[in-house]
Amino acid sequence: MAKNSLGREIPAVWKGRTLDPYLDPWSRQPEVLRATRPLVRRAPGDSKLLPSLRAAIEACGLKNGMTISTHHALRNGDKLLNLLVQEMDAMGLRDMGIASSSIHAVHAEIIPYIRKGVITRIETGVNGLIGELVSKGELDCPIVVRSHGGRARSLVTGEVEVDAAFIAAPCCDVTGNLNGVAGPAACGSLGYAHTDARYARKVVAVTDHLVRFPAAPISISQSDVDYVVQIESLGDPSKIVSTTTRLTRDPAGLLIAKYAAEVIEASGLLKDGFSFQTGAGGTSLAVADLVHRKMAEGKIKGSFGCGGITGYFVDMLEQGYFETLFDVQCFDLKAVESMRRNPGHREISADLYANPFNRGAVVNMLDCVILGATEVDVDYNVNVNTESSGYLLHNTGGHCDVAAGAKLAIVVAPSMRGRLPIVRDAVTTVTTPGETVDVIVTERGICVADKHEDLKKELLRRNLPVKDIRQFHEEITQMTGVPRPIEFEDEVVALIEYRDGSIIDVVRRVKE
Amino acid sequence: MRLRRSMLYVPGNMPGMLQNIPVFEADGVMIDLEDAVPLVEKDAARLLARNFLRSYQDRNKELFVRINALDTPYAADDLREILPALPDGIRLPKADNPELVERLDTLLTEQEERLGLPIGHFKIIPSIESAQGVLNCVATAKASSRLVALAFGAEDYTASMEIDRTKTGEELFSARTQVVWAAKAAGVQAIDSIFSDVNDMEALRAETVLVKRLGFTGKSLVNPRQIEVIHEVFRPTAEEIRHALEVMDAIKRAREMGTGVISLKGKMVDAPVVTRAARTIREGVAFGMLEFDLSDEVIHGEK
Repeated sequence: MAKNSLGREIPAVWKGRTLDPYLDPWSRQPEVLRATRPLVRRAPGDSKLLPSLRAAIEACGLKNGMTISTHHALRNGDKLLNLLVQEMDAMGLRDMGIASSSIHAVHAEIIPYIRKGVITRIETGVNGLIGELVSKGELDCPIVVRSHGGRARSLVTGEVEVDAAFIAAPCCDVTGNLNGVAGPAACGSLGYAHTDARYARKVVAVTDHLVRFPAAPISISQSDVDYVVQIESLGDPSKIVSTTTRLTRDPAGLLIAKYAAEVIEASGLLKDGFSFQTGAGGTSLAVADLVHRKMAEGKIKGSFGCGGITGYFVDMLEQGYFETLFDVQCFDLKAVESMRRNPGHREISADLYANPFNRGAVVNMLDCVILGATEVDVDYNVNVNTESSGYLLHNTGGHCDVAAGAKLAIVVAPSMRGRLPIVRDAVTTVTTPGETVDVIVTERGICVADKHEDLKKELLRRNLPVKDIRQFHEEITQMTGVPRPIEFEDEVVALIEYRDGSIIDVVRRVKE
Repeated sequence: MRLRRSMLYVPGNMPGMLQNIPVFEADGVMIDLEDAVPLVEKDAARLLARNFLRSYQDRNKELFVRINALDTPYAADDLREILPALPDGIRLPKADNPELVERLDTLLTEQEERLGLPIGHFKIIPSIESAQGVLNCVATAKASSRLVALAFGAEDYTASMEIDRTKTGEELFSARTQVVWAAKAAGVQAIDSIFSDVNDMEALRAETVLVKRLGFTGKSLVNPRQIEVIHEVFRPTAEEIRHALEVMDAIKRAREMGTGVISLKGKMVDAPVVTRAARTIREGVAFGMLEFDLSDEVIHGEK
């Protein structure tokens, strides 16, 4: 057991893996060659088409102990991962690993198969019940939480070896050219799957919309795909779009958005060439809306918007406030439609988006990002993985990647949730280190990291409620009271990997 | 001049909303113990409001409490619980006649004596919200020296008139005019009714522009999202301020020439024009838009 630089106790070895404690956001260097996959020769006339998932699993040569992956662009509408796990069980496969790009609430269906030993490890962050049960000790399944960039890194370096990637392909032809912009399960960008297509040992395109060759535009090409399987349905289109792509109407959320937009303006970054990322939460979208208006008023032409893309960013592209959108995931159908027809709306891989171990990711070019939090602490560390219950409930997404890349990382959150303060002495779990977080905006106060003395002065000059984070913490806890600390067992149930592969924190079993 | 552009109602029985009172940028808040609170929650609301007022030491806005009407069994309890927690004043609903305001004045005086406060500490804003209230409001506006503003309540007023309230508000025109006359005659502010469709910002803006033209100085509101629109309407524009400063400059030159009338860009500037310009400047100063030393001499000239 050693403490990392943030004071978090990290075991030396966990499940056979020697752990490298987190030191800082920048210094860890890659020391391996890029991973690779076997070359294959296909003769003209060879068919890749297989009749079923079972046939594909067999063709991939999956055996006990191997690892599969899927992508999460279908989000809570995804049926593929559940079907695969059922099929692997029916075939008698055991001790399998899942290295998908994310696990959503819909995948709670695999819980019985975890209990049964079909699935014994998850190499990705999880949203929902699986993480809760693992945190309670009711489900035995080690989890490694990775950011989007960190997951791409883990495949590119070969730290995670995917034996077979099953890529849900909303539109696909018989040779395996595929895209996400057509078909009943159209989800837009397939950015997360790009990495799998290049690094998994076998790649299977699974589609419910098989079209005549060629399926264009080509997002993932036939030169990377081993097999094609047609199934009845990839998922429920109504659940593929994110649920929260609407501006908040909550007055406190709107006030947070207003402050955040003022912070961006005061930072001096809002000028020609401005680049920007927000999530799809109601407050983030309200910030985007206000930034859009400020750009219109100031006749400011930005350069690019990035990340998960919503209709709000599409409007900004179409009105000329961005030249390009870099889209790793579409959050709504308007974004899907835009990617289909607008050449300025570019589909990018998770590797290009956020991998720290390549020759430069898009996040490094970002001016400003708006991020969320379940908790922050007086050192500006941010938690998005666990909640005040201590349960692992959310995946990291690109949180720590964009915070590290952007010039100005702004966390927006209400000052309290339920009856709990958002600012803590120390967050339950560190997702994103305080060294990469610049400003925390709540409806009751704006906290600015010490390294931004000029920004702090400018915000004060604008009569904004700038507060010292420790005093702000006191102020909020005076209203809420000090929450009773959560008690944990020693047992580590999940690792929180920083984007560079070092361990920034662990999740321990909650004492019930 | 105390700004009362935006007077936000917050239901007294909603702790989540009470706790956000310090955060919003309304000029004033009216914690509601009356219509927003169901009968079974009157006690709870009273205690919550009292505790909130006690804990809210670092006050950054004016705080009124809308008590229940004086002829209800709740009003006396409301006052007894609330006043020791020191609100700035009471919003009196259903102020149909001056006698009700006088009665409240007496009750407030009694409490001030009991609490050792200077007499006149608690202010009053009566709500004119019935036909009878409108007919009596000229006298009501002068019923107490505590009275700082006259408020118009269109929802109850239209109910008492047995008519529907429209978004364009033609049906309210006469009543609003009467309330503004009464307020101006008594030298107090006039606060217009709430606008209940919190998603229709354009209609809210249109109504606010209308009542500002009539002479109202502020509006009651039901949702913090409405604050910004209302403040925008009541804030003088930069153009209006520039013009007002030009008027001041022109009248100064006129007086130097020994006259009280001068032409500015082809329009006559005389005393009423100067008075209006002075009001614009006073508002601009109150809104922090400029600094200007506006003495009587500047407005009216040396005696």
